[in-house]
Amino acid sequence: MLPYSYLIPMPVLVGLLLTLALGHKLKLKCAFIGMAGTVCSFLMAAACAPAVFGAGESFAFSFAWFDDLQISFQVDNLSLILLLLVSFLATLILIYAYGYMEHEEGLTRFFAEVQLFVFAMLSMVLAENLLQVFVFWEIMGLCSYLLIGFWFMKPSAAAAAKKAFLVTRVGDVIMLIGIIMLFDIFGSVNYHVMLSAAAAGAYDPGQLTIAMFCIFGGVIGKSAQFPLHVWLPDAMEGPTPVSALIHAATMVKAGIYLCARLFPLFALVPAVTNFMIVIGTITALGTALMAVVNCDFKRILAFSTLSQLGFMVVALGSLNYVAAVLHLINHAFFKALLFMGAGSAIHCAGTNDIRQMGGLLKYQKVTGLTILAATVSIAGIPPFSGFWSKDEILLAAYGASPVAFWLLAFTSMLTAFYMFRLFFVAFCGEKRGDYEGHESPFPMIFPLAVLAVFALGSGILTEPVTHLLGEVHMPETHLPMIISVCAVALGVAASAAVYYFRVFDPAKAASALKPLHTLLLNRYYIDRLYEKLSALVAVNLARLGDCCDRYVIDGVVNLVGWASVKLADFCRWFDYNVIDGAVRGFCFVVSGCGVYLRRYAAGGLQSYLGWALAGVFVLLLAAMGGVMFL
Amino acid sequence: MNWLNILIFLPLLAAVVMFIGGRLVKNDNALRGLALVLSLLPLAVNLVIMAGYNYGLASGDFQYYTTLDWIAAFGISYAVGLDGLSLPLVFLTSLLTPLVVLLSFDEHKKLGAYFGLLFLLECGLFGVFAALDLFLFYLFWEVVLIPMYFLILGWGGPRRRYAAIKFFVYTHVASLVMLVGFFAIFFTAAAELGHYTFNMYEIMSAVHFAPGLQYLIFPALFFGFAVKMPTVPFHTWLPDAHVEAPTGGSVFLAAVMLKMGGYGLVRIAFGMFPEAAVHYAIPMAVLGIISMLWAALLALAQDDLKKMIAYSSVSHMGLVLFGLAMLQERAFNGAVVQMFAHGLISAMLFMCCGILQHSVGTRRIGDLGGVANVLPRLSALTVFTFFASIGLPGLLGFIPEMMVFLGAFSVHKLLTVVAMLSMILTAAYYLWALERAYFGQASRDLIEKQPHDIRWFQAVPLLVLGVLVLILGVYPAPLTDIVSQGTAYIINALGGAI
Repeated sequence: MLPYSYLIPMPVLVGLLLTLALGHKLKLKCAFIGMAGTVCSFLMAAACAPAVFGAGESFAFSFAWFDDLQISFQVDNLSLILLLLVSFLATLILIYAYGYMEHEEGLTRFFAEVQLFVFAMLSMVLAENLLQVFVFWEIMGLCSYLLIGFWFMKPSAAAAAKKAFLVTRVGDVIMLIGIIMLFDIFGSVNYHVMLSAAAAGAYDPGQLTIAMFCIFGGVIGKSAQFPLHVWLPDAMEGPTPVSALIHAATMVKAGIYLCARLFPLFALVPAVTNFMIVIGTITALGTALMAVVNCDFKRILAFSTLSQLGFMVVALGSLNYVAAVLHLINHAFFKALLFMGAGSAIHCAGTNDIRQMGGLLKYQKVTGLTILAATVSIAGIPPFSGFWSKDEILLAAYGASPVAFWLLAFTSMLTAFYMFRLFFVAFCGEKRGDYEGHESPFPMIFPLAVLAVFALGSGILTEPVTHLLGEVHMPETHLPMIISVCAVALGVAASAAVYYFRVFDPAKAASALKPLHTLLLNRYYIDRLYEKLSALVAVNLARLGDCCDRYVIDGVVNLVGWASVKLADFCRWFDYNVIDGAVRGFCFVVSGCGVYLRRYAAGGLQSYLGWALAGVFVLLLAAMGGVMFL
Repeated sequence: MNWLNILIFLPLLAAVVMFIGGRLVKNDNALRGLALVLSLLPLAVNLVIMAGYNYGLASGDFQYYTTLDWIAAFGISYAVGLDGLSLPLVFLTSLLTPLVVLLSFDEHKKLGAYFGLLFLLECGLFGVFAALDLFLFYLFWEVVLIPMYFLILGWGGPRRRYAAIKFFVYTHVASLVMLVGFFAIFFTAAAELGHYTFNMYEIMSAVHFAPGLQYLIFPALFFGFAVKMPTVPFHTWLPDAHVEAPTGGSVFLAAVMLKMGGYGLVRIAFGMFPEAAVHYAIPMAVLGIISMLWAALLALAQDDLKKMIAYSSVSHMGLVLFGLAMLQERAFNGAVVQMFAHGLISAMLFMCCGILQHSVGTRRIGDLGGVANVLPRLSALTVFTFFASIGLPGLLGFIPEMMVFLGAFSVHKLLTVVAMLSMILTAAYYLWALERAYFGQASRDLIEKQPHDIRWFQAVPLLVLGVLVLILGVYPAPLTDIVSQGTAYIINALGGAI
């Protein structure tokens, strides 16, 4: 199978074409085409697993694209893990979508876009050079744009789609600059060329640092790190299966994957890895704080995704990419589960606001319990999956930067707090909203149940994955683990005290810390700042430029035109009055003379004779005068 | 028998047939059918030419070369030929003509004259791209102006008089400056060769211009071509002409006529005066960047979709100038590929916009909103087209952008990075327009109007171009190979001049 592994995304592409061709007839049944495609991809990837994981083989394949550029693929441990993960999750999410999207219009569009996304993601993972990564990176961005704007008639969805694309576009352009710089440095952006050149030391450290900063810029955009994180919470305007697939489990991990891929290059530039730690910590903590105060089910999960991505970036910055990949895997499971559970709960309660849910567990046993499973996992309660990878990350951060470690430990306490808050408020207590509780249909429940198993148990993957990706040197200490477990316990306890046992009213705390609360609810005003700034600078500058074009540049053009016309007018005047005037003046003089002389030529014979004699007389006088003078 | 001569004069014949047919035949549908058939003939001839073209030949060799003495006393000849530089543009012209004819099926006014003018335009464009004699080139260059002027004047919008005059006078003045440059070339060549000739091929290979002279002639030529491209600050005729021109005219204007400027710049200015091109490289690159950024910024401010697209054309042609001025092989080829890519994509853009106007009756973004609810198919194609223009990878728009930036960075890092900022602005104006005009709730007016979604004769041109944009975007090698065959000799000359 391995020699054909570059064909892994193909079934999805075939499915996409079939969907486009038959979609208008099949409607909801397009989901089956999609599932067939992703299942085939999954099976193909699984067929490669023995050779890659077992025998340690890897596979590379390339052919000419154009000029001297190539299309090249690579399957090794890291990419195969991702391929399996993506195709597996995509299958589950398509099953879920079959239930969730039942009553929607535009299903062909939906399934076609989802499949295009899966195709792009799988291809991105397989790519062996950065240009190809960029190609699929952008196509994923397009799918994200289209799917966030799936309900394009909603102005908020249309605005969110635009925001998502533009914000990530900023990162993407920076990343393209980085790719071009790497091309300039190494003469190629194929991984094996770059990595072997870097290993041989054939590079300029200063240039490489700038280039890697730029590459990380793209990661900041795609994996939604501060300061380009603003698009992800808004992206929740899209349908929930999309949030689960693209904005939690897969696309936002593309940045993490890319960093893991290029890890040997990042490891050469400490300035960038330090910067990663800073950015990751800011994102993890800042967004976790926002999650604490938010009341929108999906937004809380979005903030939580941002925060967890921050953890992964810190792991990368701490030079432990294995921990980042582990957390990527675990997070994909439990966050996909959380989002799908959120969709189920929202379906039932008819609102996104957790304050109006309450007591859902009574009606939605499966949803509630699976969400609880994901919650204990993401909170980092041992021995569930989140605990293992988060422990690794904290350990790595402890070795790299104590400040980051303490902030992250605090963040894990917040994580436990807000996740249990979500669970307690939405699923426990009294029913507060006006809804008829019911469990979701089977296609929605089934993926939840499957994922719950993974969310609880994917911790057992820690050992094998670490083994596959290679051990990373870690500090030999258990202190971080103890601290983090304590922090998590504290978070859970606080959450239970406030939201389950209701020891005191959270509203009081909110009013006591009103400025902070408002600040967090408004997302630190960053979004608004960007909006105002872009409106103020770009739009006003554009208007100003437009005026300049219209009145200055065009003014000059029109002035030249006007001046030419005026010059022509003047020439006409000159022609008519001066040149023509001279001609006419001459004519006038001649004809005037004629008129005057005419009276002497009136036809009288005597006068002619008289004039003739006078003429002769004058001539004679002249002749005489001449003779005398000579 | 030389197919190229047939290709050039077939549209002229078609134009005559259409003018006469318009007088005699009163049935509009018959005229439309006739025009479609006549427009397909040059395309067929062009396909024959492409099939017979030798793609392996060395660069600088012209194929289908014909030369005939015309006004021998002044060395004026009829000399035409094709190479990798002109072939894509000739193909673009012959492909677009039937598509534009198809798209204009809902035109009612004086069909014979309308289609006749289109064919006349096609003839002129073929001539410009194929001519290898400066005088002939200039002749065809001017021939193109006239039908366009009448198309704007006869079938244009409310301010068509102003736009048509501005278009004509502005570009005509530019061509006169260019003509002065041609005369300078002519007399220098005559002095050096001892006989009169306007033949580009001969001049290029046999005459060497002193650098001082090159520095004088080059700006004159550059001005002529820069106005046509157009380059900021000589661009203001374009938005006006586009806004007033009928859809078919706009498509030709953006897709092919602007390429005349780029083509002339490559073939004549860069090809004959490499030292001057090197001398003026940085100012030209800066001008290109200013075009890219300035026009992209201004596109953001437009309320008329068509005007926005017109500015986007200026911005995208800025990339051509920038890529050429970098004097680096990949960037140079990228710029030439961009001419072809922009030809396809801008044609699609103007088609989308024209169809929208025919269907809804307005293209003011402020009056639109929620179009996707009532015109889903047109909107889907528009989204595709906009993303092609944004430069989404996988579509043709991305390839030249990447080639230019990849090549340019190795030459001038800072300028390249500045130029790349236009990628963000481009996405911004397109997506903002999509959000305001196509997404959101449809207004009551719009729903009550019950506009007609895209019809078959409107969909076919868009789909043909869209498929081409997709295929070449995924696998651009055929295009880039032809182009690099065509440009290699110019790049060599430039390389020798650096």
